[in-house]
Amino acid sequence: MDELKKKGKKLCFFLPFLCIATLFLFVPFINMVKNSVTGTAGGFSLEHFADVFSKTIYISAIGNSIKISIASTVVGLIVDFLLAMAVVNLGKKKKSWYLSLLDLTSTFAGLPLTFSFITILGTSGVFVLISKNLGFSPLMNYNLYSLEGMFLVYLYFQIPMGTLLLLPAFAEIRKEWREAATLMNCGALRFWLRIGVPVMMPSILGTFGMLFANALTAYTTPYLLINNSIALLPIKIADMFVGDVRQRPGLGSALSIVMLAMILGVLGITNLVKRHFEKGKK
Amino acid sequence: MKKNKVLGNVWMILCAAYLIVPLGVTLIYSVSSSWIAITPSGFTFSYYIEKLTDSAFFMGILRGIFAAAIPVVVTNVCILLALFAIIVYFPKLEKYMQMICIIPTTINGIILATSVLSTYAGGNTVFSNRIVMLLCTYCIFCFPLTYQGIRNSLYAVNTKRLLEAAAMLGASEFYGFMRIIVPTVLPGLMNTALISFAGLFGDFAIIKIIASSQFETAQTFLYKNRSADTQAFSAGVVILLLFTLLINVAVHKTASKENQKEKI
Repeated sequence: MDELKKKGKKLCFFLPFLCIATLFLFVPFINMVKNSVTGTAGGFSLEHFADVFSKTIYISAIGNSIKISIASTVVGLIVDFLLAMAVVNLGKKKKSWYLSLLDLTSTFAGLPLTFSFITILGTSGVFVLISKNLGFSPLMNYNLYSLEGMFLVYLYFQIPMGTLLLLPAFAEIRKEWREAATLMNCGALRFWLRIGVPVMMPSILGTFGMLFANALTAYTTPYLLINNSIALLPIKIADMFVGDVRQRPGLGSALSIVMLAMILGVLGITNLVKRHFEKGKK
Repeated sequence: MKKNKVLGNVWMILCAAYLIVPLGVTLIYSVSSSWIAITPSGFTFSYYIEKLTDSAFFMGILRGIFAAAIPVVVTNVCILLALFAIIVYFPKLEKYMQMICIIPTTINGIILATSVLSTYAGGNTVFSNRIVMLLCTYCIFCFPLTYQGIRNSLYAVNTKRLLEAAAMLGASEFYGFMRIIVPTVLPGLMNTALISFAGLFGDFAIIKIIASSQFETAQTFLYKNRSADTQAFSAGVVILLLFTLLINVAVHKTASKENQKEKI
């Protein structure tokens, strides 16, 4: 009995942590799952999921979200890979300067960043006005308030994050491998395609998953730029709970679960492929 | 080889330009009296003075600091206590705690905010207060980073050994923890705490969903006044950027201090 009491006292150290985690992580999550499978008339029903996959607006929201997330992730990953490759070879001082720049810009996200882009590329943005004056046509009618226009902002926040995540992987590529490959008459491109990238594949895939989730769940940028003019998953979800129109938490929860499933799906697939590459390593 | 290096340098400069230009142009735009031709004309600080003397904006920054600082402190205390118990009494529970702390990296941002909102809004409990809701959701947001930071520091100083030594001298485990371990790891915790703080201070999504009408931070203030004079507006944006920059410098300072300590 005494022993039990003592143990109970020690378990008290977990109380504050567990309280917050239970009340604001587990209970809301369970509630969300419950909401998503409760019909408008009460009782168990999959009608919200049926809505999500049958109404054009939600299908296009999912499609648009996937489109911009995949595009910004793939382009971002290529930019990041080349950038990390160049940064690794820098001298100590230049490298630390560049890393500070990446650190700094990785925290410039959300509202200030989006408004900076509006200042330069919005309808009366500085660059747009300058191009009009100069007659430089590609930027003259730049439309930031569209899926394609928004891409630049998405790419912006993928660059520092992806590069910082990829940098440690470049340390795995030993100089000797490169030298050995060169001795055997293997060019740079071939070296990276046949040796470098496969060795780094686990990190590249991990970064891919992170960047994808980052882009998919981004809310501030699309909210400020397009809001409801183009359907996008995060905005639709938030609208179901706080929108000016009728609130539909059931449908919102179903959309949240679809989004969560997409993130977990991508993480799962990248993990499976990662295993394949790690096997080769061992 | 040399050609590759040149290409690499060009690439780095291009990327750096892409990262700096939006911020740089916003800065120039906010200090020029007008910019409708090719080059900006005039130089003025009036927009900054206007913003900084605007009490609503200033209060917004203070509220933002408040809303970001409290969750960071609360999360640090909660996780410190839990990790203390894990290291000293229940080492087997560590993997469960790690699992809980990693969940918020997937259930992030809007999913968390909307599910919290739909669970507690409209009720009569203390949690239906939007500010309480906001602060607690922020706590969950801090979990992954804070856990990682505290765990690493506690293992780096070998907490278990130190506490055993303290116990031999007659100090209880908890007393030893508070008087020896916490002061030792505190500077290290500052680093992750500041990063979490910067993340929360820059948040707009969660606060917009949970408490936009009840609690106005600098971010929501700017959002509300986005159609006002654009230059005064970009001055506000630059002030927020400079504030984040300041936090960033602090992060670097604490990190390099830690590194120096390790070298000694």
